[in-house]
Amino acid sequence: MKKIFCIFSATLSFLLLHAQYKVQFIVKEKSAIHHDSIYITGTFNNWDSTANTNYLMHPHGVNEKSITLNLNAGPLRYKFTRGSWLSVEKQNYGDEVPDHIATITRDTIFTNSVERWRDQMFIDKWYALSAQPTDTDRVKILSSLAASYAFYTEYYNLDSALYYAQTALQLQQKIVASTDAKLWSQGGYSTQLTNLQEVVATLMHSLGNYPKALELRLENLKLAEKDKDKFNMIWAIASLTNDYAAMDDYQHVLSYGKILDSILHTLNIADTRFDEGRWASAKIISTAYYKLGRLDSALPYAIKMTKINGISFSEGRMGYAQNTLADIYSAMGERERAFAYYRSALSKGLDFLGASSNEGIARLFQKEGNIDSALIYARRALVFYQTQKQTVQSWGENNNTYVAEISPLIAELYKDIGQMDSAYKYLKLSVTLKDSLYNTDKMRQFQTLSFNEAGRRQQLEQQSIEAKKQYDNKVRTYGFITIIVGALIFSFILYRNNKNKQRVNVQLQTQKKELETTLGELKTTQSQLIQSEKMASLGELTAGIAHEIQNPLNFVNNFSEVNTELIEEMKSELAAGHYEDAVEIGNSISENEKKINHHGKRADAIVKGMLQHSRSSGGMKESTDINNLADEYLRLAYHGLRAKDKSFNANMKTDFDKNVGKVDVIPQDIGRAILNLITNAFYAVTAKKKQLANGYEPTVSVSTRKLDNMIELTVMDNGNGIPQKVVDKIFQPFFTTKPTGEGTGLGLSLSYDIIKAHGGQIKAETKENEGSKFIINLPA
Amino acid sequence: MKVLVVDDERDIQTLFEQRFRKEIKEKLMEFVFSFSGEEAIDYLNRHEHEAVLILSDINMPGMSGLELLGHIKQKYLKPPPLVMMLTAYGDAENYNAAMKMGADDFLTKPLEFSILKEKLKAIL
Repeated sequence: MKKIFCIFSATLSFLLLHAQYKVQFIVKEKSAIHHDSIYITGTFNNWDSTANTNYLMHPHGVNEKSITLNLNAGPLRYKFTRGSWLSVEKQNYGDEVPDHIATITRDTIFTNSVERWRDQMFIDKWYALSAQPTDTDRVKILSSLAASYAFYTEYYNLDSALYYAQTALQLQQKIVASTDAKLWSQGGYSTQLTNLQEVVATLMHSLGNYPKALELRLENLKLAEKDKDKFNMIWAIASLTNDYAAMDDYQHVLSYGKILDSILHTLNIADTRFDEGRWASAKIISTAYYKLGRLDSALPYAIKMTKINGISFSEGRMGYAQNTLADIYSAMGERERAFAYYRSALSKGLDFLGASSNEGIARLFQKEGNIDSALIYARRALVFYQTQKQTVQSWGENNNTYVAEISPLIAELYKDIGQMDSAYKYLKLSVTLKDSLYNTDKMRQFQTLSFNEAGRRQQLEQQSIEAKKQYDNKVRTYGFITIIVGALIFSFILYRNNKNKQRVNVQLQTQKKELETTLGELKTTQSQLIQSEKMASLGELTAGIAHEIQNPLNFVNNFSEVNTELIEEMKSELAAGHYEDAVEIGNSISENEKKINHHGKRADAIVKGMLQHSRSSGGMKESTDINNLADEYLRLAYHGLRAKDKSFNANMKTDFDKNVGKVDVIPQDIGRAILNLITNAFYAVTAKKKQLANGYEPTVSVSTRKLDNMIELTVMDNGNGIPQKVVDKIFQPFFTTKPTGEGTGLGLSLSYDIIKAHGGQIKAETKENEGSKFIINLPA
Repeated sequence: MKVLVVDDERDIQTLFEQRFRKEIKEKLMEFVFSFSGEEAIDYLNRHEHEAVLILSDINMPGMSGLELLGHIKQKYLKPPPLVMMLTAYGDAENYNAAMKMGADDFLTKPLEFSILKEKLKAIL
């Protein structure tokens, strides 16, 4: 039971915690530098704060962007960034403003201003360094500065980037030495180190130091595997394939590409955070197959590149995909397709990509023997690689590698047109560059690294096989234990159920009775409610008035018209000397006259009753002895009826509670209400007496009682009771059980209004053939 | 022509007898009276096909005039006696209900006997 309760309360708290609210974020750019891709990232609805999602914000106003998200209640950290989500994730790359911290408790709008983006970033960071930050913060700032110098083409500065990266790395090592392993993983130090090492690796790669770049990236891969951080694993692998590609080792590129693909397959396809990883994986595998000459295998991956088109995918990425496709088609000899894709890629207007497309077009022309055109395109690419060193390096690439690669093509083209000097010059350039890039030392370093890594991977695989074996054994053991425990629990439940059955039955009986009582009370309340509704219904009242007035009027009008005719007839009978006939007519006239009078009075009574209903009483509230009042009206009713009907008789019983005392009421109104109840009671007992001649004692009882804050007055009779089907209608105006013409049907209705006006309640309890009981409650 | 008048107002009998005293004397018309829906059905069961016209009030204790109308229209499918509704409720709701249920006419109280006589003459 306790366990069930725990589960229940856990579920409840889960539900309470996960109420969702609409949260609108508005960001204003104070520096008025309009930027069309501003993202928001934060701990949105995630259990794991590292699993951030970023959202592209939409235009909202002048220099304003906004987005509305459905977020769970609870704490939230968020921040705004510019550029792609890559810069969001890699926090030290410097593109972000500090986190905003908030707690969501309802629908909210957060408005934040951003002072500055990248443009003022350097100033900010130097300022932050001068403010003597903690070592951990200092590493962050230094890494960020290094990344800024390394990756932003417009600020590219290799020396500065290297300086800051090395300083950060040294400091980081100092921190690691002084921090124990647990803190290390908690503090996110490994992500920080990974980012830093990636910055340095990129710099090394762009300098052509591929072994160093590979070493650092392999280091990152180890860290990510240790932390089981798939995100970092993906990026470490994607980065290191670059180093293998630069070393022309596409066999390795392919095998890492496949590892990458298998990791991505374990992740939810709907998780768009990994879209860029998926794109990179397709690019890596496609390029590797292409370079290895396996064009049929390369093509589907290149097509896949064009199909991953998430929110953060630019036209540029489409351009790269098209360029890769064009390379493959070119190698396949599909000239038209290759041209079309190269042109599309060129139209994206991206310089680095453009160079690659120009090179591809040059090779196409060369194949066709159109050497002049080939030379024009090849030289365009070369000029870019030679003159735009900074741009190439800011892409994390080494320009010399590209120059070395395109030079033999140009040499060949010059040779074809007979310009041997130029051909020799480019051939020599290529050899010199390749010598420095791929000297024996470097090759050896690279191979050692690759060999060590292969050994490590083998070890890892062995470990994972053993771990799986152990896991299978565990599963088997636990499964067996679960079955035994399950059987035990089941038999215990059976035993306990049996034991509890009787006790539960008794409980059920009690509950049933309680429910029946509650249901009864509910029904009473419901019919009272319906009652009040009907009281207020004007339509009901109008129909009642129509019927009650029109019926007597019908007689008054018609009998008087008949009398007019009869008088004329009587006159002519008299004139004719038929005196007997005249007397007979005269008798009819007199009978009719009585009926006119009767129905006229009937109409009068109805109108007076209605007036009493509608007119607010002129009386004032007085402190009134309720017992005296009730006694007085009981006698009044009795003697009134006796005066009308000599044969009338009934027993009267009173039971007055002295504690009732005086209550503030309008005495004539309450008196009127009591009188109506008592008159009805006398009527009921008289009617029953007429049916049962002997042995029946007609009795009307009036009693009072003091309750908490209330007094209760009861009028009870032992008449025939009220039929169940009309009980709900008795307080309605014009409703009566008396024969037509004997009652106006306004008495109980009036009583109801009076008691309500005093803030009290009136209700009827009745049993057919046993009698009725009317209970009035008034506030004391 | 025998007319059955159904109304809980007992004075209706005197009124009809006075108003149609000439027609009754000349035996052009004969009136019978029931003071509730139940009584009317009882009469019709005992004297089937005698009354060619039924004049009924709507608002009566017990079986209402509309219930009586429904009963008559169900029971006397062929030939149906003419049924006129006679009521103090001259509202559209009752009028529509009565007409939907197959009433042949609808008169409101206070009754204009001159109009009623015209209608009866037309039937005769």
